[in-house]
Amino acid sequence: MKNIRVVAAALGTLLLLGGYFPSGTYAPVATAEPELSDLKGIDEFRTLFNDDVGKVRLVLLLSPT
Amino acid sequence: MQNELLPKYAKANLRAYAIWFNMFPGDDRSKWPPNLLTDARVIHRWDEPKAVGLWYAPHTASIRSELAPGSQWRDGAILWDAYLLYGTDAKWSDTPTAGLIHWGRTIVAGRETLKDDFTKMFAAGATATPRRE
Repeated sequence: MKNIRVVAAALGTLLLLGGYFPSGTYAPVATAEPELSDLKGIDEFRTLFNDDVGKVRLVLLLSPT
Repeated sequence: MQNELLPKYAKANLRAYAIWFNMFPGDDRSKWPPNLLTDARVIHRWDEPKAVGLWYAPHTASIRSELAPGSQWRDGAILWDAYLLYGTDAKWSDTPTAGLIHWGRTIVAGRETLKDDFTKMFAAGATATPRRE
């Protein structure tokens, strides 16, 4: 994906929209030092996904460049 | 952009999974951009065998009706540069259809639909999961 920064900007905007407060202010949100660990197969992903039932879930399939 | 926007993020009830894998000849795990998605709600995984993209690709025919307007997908072997948005009650079974709201490819091409869905779900007073139109 050669336009990864465009994608990131779009996603950042969307997450921003998701956090918009009706008062017109924005609530702080936690950031973290991202960690990239190896996916241990589709079963791990299935478990992650199902452990988060109750949340809206966004799956992003990305390439690093 | 991330550094500019992240301080303004709130805690929408959201989890994002960023699944990274090689698709271009120059791609490599070492090229992973750690500063692009630093929101704590984002889980990053490196998928060397492209297992997730390979899993989704053959299922795309069954979720074609949820494809965001403006998106393009021609039944490739690996789904990538794509997003899939699921509601709160979605549970992964043998297919990706349950609870899927929309998916888009490319992510940029589907961003307006994703933005609309976010607004419907997270705007003040929003309680319903958006439905396809």
